[in-house]
Amino acid sequence: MKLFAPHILTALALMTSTAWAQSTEQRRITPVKPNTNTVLRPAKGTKEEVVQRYLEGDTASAQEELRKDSLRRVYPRYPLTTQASFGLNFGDALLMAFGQKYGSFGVSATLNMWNRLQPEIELGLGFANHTPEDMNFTYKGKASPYVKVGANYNFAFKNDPKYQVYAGVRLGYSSFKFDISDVTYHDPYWDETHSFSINGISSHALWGELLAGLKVTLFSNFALGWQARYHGIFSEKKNPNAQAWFIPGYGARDKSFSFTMSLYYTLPLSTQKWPKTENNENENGK
Amino acid sequence: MKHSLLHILSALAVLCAAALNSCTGDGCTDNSSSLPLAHFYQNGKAVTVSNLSVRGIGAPGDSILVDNESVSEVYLPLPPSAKMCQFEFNYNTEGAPADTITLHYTATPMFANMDCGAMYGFNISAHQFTRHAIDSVALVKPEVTNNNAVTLRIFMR
Repeated sequence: MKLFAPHILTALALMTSTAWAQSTEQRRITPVKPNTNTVLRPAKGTKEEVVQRYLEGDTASAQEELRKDSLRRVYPRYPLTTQASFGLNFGDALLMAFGQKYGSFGVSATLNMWNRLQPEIELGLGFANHTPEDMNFTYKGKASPYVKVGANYNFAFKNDPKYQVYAGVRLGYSSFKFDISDVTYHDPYWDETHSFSINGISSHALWGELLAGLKVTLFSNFALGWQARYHGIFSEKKNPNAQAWFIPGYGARDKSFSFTMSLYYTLPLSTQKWPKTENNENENGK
Repeated sequence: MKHSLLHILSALAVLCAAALNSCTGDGCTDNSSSLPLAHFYQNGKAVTVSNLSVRGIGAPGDSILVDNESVSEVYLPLPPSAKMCQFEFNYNTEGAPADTITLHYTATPMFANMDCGAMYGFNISAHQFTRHAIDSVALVKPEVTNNNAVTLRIFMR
């Protein structure tokens, strides 16, 4: 009996250690979700032909079509030529009512491509007439033309083109003339008073603009737009005896910011290729 | 609702623009006249000249530019109606006769900017001087505008 006792104790110890080792190994096992063999059904609203392809077993092409279809829903793709807009810039008319002594009035043509990229050209005329208080001259900027070319990027490209939030760049150029007239100059030391004018000073300027804007359709095809512009002069013709204060299309040279307001007439293009939205479905239904 | 938003946006845009438009410039940071500026030097260094009086010869009422002061620089205003102007430098010291600097120039109407206004600019074509206390006069910049650039350097003995 005494001989069996050590064997029994050794066997018990071995069994305990084996059981402990097994329990430790089991704890290290990462549970795996069993394959439930669930059949993924096509999303609600999927085209019938895609569903049929799915049911016929061609799941690869059906899934690809489903992926494209869902992308189309997230990123509705507008056609290359979505809209053409023609604008009239009248913001300076309002500002002149607030006392601004210069104005630039222009027309613009914009092509809305994919409801994202919008190349634009602006043509207009600018003029100035300012006699500052307590100063000895009148600045007359003769009505002169300007041109701007550039593009906007519409951040609301997923939405209906009726509402746009965009940023853009412009390159502007103007060739213009101005007069400094009715000058009265008094030299206090020599006690001399002189009157003179500097007429027909010609200059030209090239400048750049960064802008941010909103465009909202008011009714039918008419929209209103607001733009805040930051601009800087790249180059200009410098005259030895006079520096231009007003540049048509740019505004006063001492101001880096300007605001413009425009009325647009928008012509929808390729409407049959526009993605279906609640709005245009309703409109088509009408 | 849409029209209210439009009105608010329009009003905000116009008010912002009007507020920006109402901001005036920094004012005239240069001069409102084109004045030749002369600096005094001695032995190659800028100096202050004591007891100096400066006047334009022929100025109305014998008006004085500097009246018995210690100065290191002096503005010499030019009459636009003339083509030549003389300035007398009196040292107010016994045995030190006055010097005269003569400037020949042309005056041209110019427009500096909206803050400084319109004035005459000058182009100095020639200059002469006497050599009592003055050793030499250098014409540094013949074109005289409303900025504070040095036109003449007067080297004293």
